[in-house]
Amino acid sequence: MAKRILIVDDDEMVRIALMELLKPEGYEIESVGSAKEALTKIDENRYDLLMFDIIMPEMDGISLCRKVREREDCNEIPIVFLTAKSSDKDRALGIEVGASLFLSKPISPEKLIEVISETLG
Amino acid sequence: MRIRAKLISVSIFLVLFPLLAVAALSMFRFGTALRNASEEDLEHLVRNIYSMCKVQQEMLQMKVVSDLNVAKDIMYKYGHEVTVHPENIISFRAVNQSTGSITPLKVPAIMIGNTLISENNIIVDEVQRLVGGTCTIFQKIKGDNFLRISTNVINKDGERAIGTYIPNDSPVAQALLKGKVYHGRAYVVDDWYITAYEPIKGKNGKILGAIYVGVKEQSAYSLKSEIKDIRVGKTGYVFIIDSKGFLKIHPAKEGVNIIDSKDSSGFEYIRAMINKARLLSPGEVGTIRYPWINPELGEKKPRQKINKYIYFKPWDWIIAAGTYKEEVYESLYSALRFIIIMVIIGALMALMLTITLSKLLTRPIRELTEVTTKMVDGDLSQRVKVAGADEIGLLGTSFNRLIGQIQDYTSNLEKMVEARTAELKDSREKYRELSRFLNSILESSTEYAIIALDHKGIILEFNRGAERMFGWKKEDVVNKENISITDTPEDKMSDMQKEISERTLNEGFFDLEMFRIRKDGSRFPAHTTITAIKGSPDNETGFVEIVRDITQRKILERELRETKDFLENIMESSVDGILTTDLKGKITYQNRGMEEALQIQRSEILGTHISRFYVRGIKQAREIMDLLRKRERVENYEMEVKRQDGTALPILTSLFLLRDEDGQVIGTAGIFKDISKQKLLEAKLKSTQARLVEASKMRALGELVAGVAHEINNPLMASKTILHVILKRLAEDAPDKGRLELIQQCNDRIERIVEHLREFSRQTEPEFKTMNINKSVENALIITGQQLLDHNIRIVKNLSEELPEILGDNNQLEQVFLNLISNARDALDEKQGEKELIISSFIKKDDNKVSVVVSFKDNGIGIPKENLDKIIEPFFSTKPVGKGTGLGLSLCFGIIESHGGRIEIKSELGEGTDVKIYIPVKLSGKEK
Repeated sequence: MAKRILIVDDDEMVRIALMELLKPEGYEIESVGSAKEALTKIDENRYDLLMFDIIMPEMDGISLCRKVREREDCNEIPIVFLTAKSSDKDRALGIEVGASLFLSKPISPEKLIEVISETLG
Repeated sequence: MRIRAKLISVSIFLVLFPLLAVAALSMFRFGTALRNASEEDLEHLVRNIYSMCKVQQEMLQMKVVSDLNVAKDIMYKYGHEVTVHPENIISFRAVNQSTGSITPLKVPAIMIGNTLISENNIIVDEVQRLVGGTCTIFQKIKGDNFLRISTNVINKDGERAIGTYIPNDSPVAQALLKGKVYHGRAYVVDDWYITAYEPIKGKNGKILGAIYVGVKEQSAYSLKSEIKDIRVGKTGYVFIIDSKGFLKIHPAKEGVNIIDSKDSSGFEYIRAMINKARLLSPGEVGTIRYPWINPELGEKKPRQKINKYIYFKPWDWIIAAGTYKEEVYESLYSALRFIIIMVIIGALMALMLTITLSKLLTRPIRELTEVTTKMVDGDLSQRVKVAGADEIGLLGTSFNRLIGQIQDYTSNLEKMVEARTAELKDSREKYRELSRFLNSILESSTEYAIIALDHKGIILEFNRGAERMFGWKKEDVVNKENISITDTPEDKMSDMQKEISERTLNEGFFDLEMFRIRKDGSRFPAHTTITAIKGSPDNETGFVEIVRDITQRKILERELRETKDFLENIMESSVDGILTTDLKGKITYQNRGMEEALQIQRSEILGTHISRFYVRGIKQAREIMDLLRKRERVENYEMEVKRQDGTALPILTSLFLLRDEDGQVIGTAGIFKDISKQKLLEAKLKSTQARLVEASKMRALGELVAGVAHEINNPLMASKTILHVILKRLAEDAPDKGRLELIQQCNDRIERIVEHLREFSRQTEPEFKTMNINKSVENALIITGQQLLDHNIRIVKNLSEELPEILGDNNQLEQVFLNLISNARDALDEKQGEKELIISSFIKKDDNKVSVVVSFKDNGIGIPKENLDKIIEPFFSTKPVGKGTGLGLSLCFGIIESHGGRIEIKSELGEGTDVKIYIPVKLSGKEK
């Protein structure tokens, strides 16, 4: 059964591009544009990997990550931040709130595919 | 001294001096000769006696030699051989003749031929009978002593001295033991003898004993009595004494010991004489002189005695002849008496002759003197009696002529005196007129007190001015005593009067200021001029005082002084400099503030020209003066002046013209404020402001860039990813594949730019740690080292190992150094020839600030001057498009600034560029 990935990013172009890139790799991809939508999705479904942007209106990726980690059934799901932020401080904060990986945009597509397959593998 | 007395003294001198000289010389020569002759007589006497003794001694010795031969003849008449007979032992009580010790002794008998010698005196007595001396036969006994076994020498007890022996250590025994004959003095038993001893030998030549003959030494009685009879002068005599002090021959005291005798001064003269005599060589005569009182003759005063003496050693005789000195010198003294009497008679005769002669010579001169004395008393009729044609006669004639002339002159003189008396009368009239004139002046000067005083200070004249000034009436003070018009304490009064009169007399007048006193006792300051007036009626000096009341002047003077002090105090205490000049620009005053600001002493500056302080010298001085004349004053004018050491001092000055009462310009005055500190502060403020502006500019830019980067990254990410998906799907030979790849390259470039922008924006958040800056440099070199080598660039590292640690962000600093190395590399790439990059680090101290400096110095193409200011601006780049973002140096500046440091860039076009990074050592991260 194909692995399920939820992509959360307020930038639609990014969501489309990531779907275009990852679908051919055999993943089942869903994507939403806000943290609120993401929480609903996570309530309804089970995902193998969550991929969050950080800078988003209303609720940012960091808060989202905290909320997800608060849920008992979501303790073990790998969460990957894919964000325009790149400083050590942001990186440290991301890991602190429970992310498995912190990737900075723009990451090369080959690298992204490699990293995701490693995380899920 | 009168001529007569002079004549007499000269004559006496001329006569007496040679006379006395001859007398003294002859007395001296004659006396010496006589004295020598008298003493020589005494000497001859003792020497003669000495010779007599010597002859006697020699005769006795010769006799002893012949006596010995006689004794030997007699002895050998009894047999030819002397033999010892041990079978016949004889006992003796042997007595050592030197020590007197007694030992019982047994000796064998001695025989000659058949005659026993021991204790048999037949031989010795026969010898005595023939020659008259004594004779002894000795036996040599144990211990080499010689024992008397037969003798006619008699001991003290009147017995033969058989049994006494000569001990082996005596010179006699010593000679005999050697087999020799002994001649000479010998002490035999109890007296001195002139002797001869000869050893007696046995058949085999062995010494068995000895034979002796001897004559008592002083047996010559005739000699003694002869000596006793000798007389010296009236009372002198000869005496002989031995070295122990016993009188051997003396007219009265023979046998007495006189060694302790003392002369009248207490001196032991006999002992002294004996001691000296024994040191004389044979035949030499000694002399001793001593004072002597003969109490037997009832003498009270000592008389000088003289003794001549000689030492006859063989008999130990000191032969002395002595007498009183006066007896020796008697003939000498009578000769001297004669000479003295002759000299006195001669002198008296010369004196009488001189007196008579001088009387004769001076009589005419005395007469002349008498006449002259009368003439002086007014009697001009006197004339001198002229006698003879000698010099004195001529003098009389001339003198008489002189008196005649004086008589003429005197009558002329009287006529002249009468004429002068008439003239004098006339001038006295004129003097009275002058005196009246002076008096009117005296009375009419009311502002001045004029007072005349005599030498004792009594007031003689007191004008109306004086009455007004002192409050006294003239009649109250004139010719009165104890009027006090000076305020001087009693004790200083006499000193002051003395000074006044001395100075007035020496200089003619004397000015002084002093307090005077009025009749009512009040004081006032006054100026007084005192003049001395000589020749007042009683020929004493008097004084005139002119007194002026200066109370008003004194008050004005004090006010002036106080005002001046007040103003000077204000000026001196001013921190600002105050300075005045005259019209020519010469400095006439400067206050302390000025001294301190210009660092120059007042004494060095007063009188010098103001232009010395102007940077542009005399030209500037003229400009300022022109400005002043135009505007009267110049306020808050900023300029620079020169200090003493040549450094410039920025000042703020206000200048104005000084005018006198008539409005004429007499100089300039200026107040100067040192504004160097202000200027310094202003400059600092400016630079701080500039830095703050720069920093905030950078911060704003950083925020902007961060936002932009973030915004770009999202679409860029999308673009990259979709392009990747498309390219993957496309066949290798798809027609648009090349074009799409071009887009991909564009994306990569955008990514790089954004990455750089992001780094640039991140500079505001450094993480400070304690670190060594050399490590960042080394890290940057590890990354770029190979690359530089590939570009043929030589790297020279001069990193100091003693750098202190700094607080810094290692990554950021590394980034700065990478940037600078990369810039240097680009600059070197464009250049031909040798390429070199020198990287050094060191400590630099300035303004109490310690910095660590890292320098990157290349010899590349350099930076054009017009670009130097722009290079730190963001997005300024001279590199080809795509090679540089224009953010590198700007980033570096931001990072270094956040470290509290600075970057210094020096560059010469075509020579190279030197970039220095300064990081302060003591900056903590707290500022952030």
